[in-house]
Amino acid sequence: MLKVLAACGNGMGSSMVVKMKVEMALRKMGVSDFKTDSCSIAEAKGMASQYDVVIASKHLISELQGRTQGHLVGLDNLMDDKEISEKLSEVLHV
Amino acid sequence: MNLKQALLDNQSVCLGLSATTWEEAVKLAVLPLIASQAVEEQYYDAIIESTNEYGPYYILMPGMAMPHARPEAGVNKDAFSLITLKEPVTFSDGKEVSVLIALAATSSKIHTSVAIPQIIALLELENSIARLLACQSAQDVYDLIDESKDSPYLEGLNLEE
Repeated sequence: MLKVLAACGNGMGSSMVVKMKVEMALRKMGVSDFKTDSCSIAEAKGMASQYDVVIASKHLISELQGRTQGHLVGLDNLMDDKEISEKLSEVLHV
Repeated sequence: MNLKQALLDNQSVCLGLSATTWEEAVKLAVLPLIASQAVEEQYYDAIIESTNEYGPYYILMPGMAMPHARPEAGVNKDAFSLITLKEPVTFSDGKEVSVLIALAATSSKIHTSVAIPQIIALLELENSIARLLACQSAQDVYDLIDESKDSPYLEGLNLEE
């Protein structure tokens, strides 16, 4: 199962948007066995190691360097399906 | 929490406002929620502090920001505001924003999930930012929200909750 964590500054706004966008992108990419969660960046620091991919705004993703063996994905536009799909494809090799 | 209902309950649609800085714009977005008592004044301070620490991570797309902070920073009830600016403000990362949807949530639990998909659905409308900026009344905004109700992001959700 692919595990993806979406993080934002506070865990209940933009991270939920990213989480939903990621779910939509994964389904369109043909990935069906996945689990997505969202949280704040502070929480992500303690949880990142449990996920294959951690995805957040470019502003935040550097806070998680070294916290996970998984992939870190930084987004410029949190609503851009193309950016999200391309960056997920790069790390998932789909 | 339903987006349109939250905007109605808090009388929190304010259009064609003016601000010269991003801090001023965030203040304008939070003011209706302070007025409706959905949030305390310190909620604005928490957003500014968070932005200064992390950058404006809540700029969701070009032209649009969704400022928010932690529930313990003074949130009394789940609420949203939607404001538009006559002229864009520039955030600390250089991005310009003319539409702000301030979010106040009492927790990250599932009951906030209807409004977030509704915001995505609204912003997915063709030319959504330009159309929001063209709104002359709160009803125009409500009409756009209604127009987005068939979005795939709303599939299976009970929009009345």
